[in-house]
Amino acid sequence: MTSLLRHIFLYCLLFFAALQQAHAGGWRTFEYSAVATALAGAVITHSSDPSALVYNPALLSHLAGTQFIAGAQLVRPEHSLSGLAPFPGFGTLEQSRDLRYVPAHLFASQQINDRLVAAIGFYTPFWRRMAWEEPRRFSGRYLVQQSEFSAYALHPSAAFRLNEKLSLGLGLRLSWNRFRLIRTHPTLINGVIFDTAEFQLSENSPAEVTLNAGLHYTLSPRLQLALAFRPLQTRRLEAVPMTIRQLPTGNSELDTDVQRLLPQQATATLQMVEPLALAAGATWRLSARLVAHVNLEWLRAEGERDLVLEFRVDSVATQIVQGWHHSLNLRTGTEFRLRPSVRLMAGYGYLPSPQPTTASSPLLVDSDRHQASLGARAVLGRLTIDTAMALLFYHQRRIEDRNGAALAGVYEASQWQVALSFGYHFGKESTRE
Amino acid sequence: MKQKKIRLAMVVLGAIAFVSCESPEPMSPPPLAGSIDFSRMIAVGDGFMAGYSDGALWEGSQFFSVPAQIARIAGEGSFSQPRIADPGVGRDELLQRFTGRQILLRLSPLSINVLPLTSPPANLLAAQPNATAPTFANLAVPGHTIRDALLLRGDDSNPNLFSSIILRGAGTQTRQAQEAAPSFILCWIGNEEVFTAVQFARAIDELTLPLPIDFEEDYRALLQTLTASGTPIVIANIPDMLHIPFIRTVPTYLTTTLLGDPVLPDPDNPESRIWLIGTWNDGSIRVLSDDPQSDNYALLHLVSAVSISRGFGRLVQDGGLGIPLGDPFVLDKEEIAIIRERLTTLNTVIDAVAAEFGVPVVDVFSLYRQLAGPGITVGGVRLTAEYIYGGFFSLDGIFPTAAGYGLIANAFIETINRHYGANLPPVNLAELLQIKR
Repeated sequence: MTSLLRHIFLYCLLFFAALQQAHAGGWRTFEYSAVATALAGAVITHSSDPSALVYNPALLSHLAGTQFIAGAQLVRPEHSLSGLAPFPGFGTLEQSRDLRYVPAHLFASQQINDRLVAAIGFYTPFWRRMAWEEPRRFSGRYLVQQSEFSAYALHPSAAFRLNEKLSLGLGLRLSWNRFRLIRTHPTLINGVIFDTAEFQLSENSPAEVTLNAGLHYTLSPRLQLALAFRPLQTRRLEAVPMTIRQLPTGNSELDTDVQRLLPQQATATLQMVEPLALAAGATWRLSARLVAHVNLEWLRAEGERDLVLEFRVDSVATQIVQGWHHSLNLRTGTEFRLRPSVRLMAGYGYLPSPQPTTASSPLLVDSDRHQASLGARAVLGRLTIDTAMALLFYHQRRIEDRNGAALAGVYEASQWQVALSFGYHFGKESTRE
Repeated sequence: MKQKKIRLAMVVLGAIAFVSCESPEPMSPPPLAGSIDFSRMIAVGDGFMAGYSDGALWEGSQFFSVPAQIARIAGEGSFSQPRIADPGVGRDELLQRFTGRQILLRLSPLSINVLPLTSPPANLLAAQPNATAPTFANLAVPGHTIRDALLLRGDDSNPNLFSSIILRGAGTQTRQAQEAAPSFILCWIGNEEVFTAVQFARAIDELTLPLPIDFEEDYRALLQTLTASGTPIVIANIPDMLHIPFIRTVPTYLTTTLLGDPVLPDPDNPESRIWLIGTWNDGSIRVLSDDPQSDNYALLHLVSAVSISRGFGRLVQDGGLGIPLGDPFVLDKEEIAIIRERLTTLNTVIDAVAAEFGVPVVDVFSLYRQLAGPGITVGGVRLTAEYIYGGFFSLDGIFPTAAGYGLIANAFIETINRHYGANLPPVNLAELLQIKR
């Protein structure tokens, strides 16, 4: 056993050493329950409720009877940009507007027989909004004044217990995406910029299907191992017409001239790639009260066109193309059983950004981040109450763009989130060991 | 024991995760200037280096000249220029007279006014020949060729008014540059050599276009003089003069865009176009074409729009006077080919001579090609070579706007940083794009 542990640690160390240059993390909402938030997402091997179907459907095989969990998170990111030349220049300070959002989640599982458990979940796989104070004066408004990408998912899954040690799981995620973009159209007249129109896009994409699969292995009463996989998924909206609204310049004669100059047609093409995810995790029962979780998640980006936004104004196209790095996320969590009915949780995650510095833009601001979380679970008979809070600290990111596709400056960000989930189970025990 | 090992391993793992984090950006950047001392920077050149814009040299445009912008970025606020008060001094080659700058009156129909030069601008008098006055740091003289920079002192019989304003009889550009003991030299010249052929729509060796061998001799003499004392220097090549709005705006067919009068039902439909007639360099009169493959392919001067609006270049049955556009307005296919070939050759000469002296070259030619092609995007704003609406070219269709000079200054800065290890930040283009005139 000691030898096996030593090998696992050695493997982890080598994995880190080899991939420490790789970047990871990103813009996804990763935590879909309060427990996941409390453990900083280190839940590949954690099987306390049906939200496990998102991370590793094999874990469902450990759920007994009928179980429900429902709740919501309050997420509040903050961004700022201190400008640099050539655009928007020194002295420019941009602050994000209130970007709060409240993704909700609802999961349910049903034990079919001793080997088979089915489950379904409704949650928000990603939700990211960028909006800035004084949007009409925001220096990046000619790139993107405001953007919002969100998705809702319905996720039926099933897990099968092959034997006492090994379980397999498979899920089918159907997701509906929503994209909203606002962009200011500049008209240059004799070397001077005038804001002459606003282009808006608001579009829902048709349902998209992705698989996810997982495996869980109980090596010993103290050690559990797991693997989870989700393939790369591309979301694409092709040449969606944007609405064009003329903005008054304050000069009626100019407005009349500008009306003649305004584009007749503007379309946006959007492509977003959700990277392939391969996660490995281990859970150690360190003592009767203490459990530790470690997850490594490798994200394989498409590499060249992970985020593409193309504005076509009449026949002229402007593209924002972001190729992202492959990346490696580390998530760790610990649980401490304070009393039989109360469990305390803490987590830490290091999530390097997959977004190279050359790709940062007001469309989507990202950077390497550290996540620190705390939480608690209270069990009141059949009812469980989970609470959690997390703080995310982003590294400062300096973009020295001289090619015009981004705003040059120092980007800073932070985020806090709180989560609350209620679980209920029908049956004698909530988990089967 | 086993648990201790596990805990220890977790601590190690966490430590590695922290070590693999990207370290924060350094807070103290390297010195701006690198090996360059910008305190006694001198600029040598022609109208492009002087900051000519909107058809004139005036203090509003001189403030944004390439060397003035670089000096400000380098923290040298004392960079002196022969400032000429508004409305500045411009030269109307067509009417052979001096004028003020151009101003945009109306977009539709396009109306541009030239401010009159009723009396000498206030500070023009202050810039009159004065041998005791200190040398200006910006010695660039609009209209100067390389040979002019080597030979003209500003007190000679040359009709270039700018020579006397800027050089004041105190010596040639190169001489004054040498005597100022500069710490750094910016040099951008040779543009006039090509532009003369474009401006007069004539490609004649030794009259409107220099022979490559003469150009090489002049350029070598220029660099020999400027680098004699080992002063570091940056030079720039000749922009693509065949992709400027001055000859790319007026189409060879009738359109309502510039004239304002509704002549055509569908100006975008080639079938319904009324093609203009013009005089070829051999004296023949031809129906002009906008197809580069056609033998009658031609580019028209911006100023020809006025003649077209008065009925020139149109047959009588098309509502015109039946008088073709004159040869000075028509850059024909043959002339375009000669100028293109010569432009390429002269830029090759610049590269070769620069390499001989170990001098870095700013590639302004490529910058102009990019403007004429996909454009250059800055913070989501696309700058192109389009007249009025491209953002780069001023009302004269030849010289840049403040933002255009900013883009060129950034190209210089990039070359200075790369070659001399400096760390100058780029010019703030956002600010330059907000300047209303």
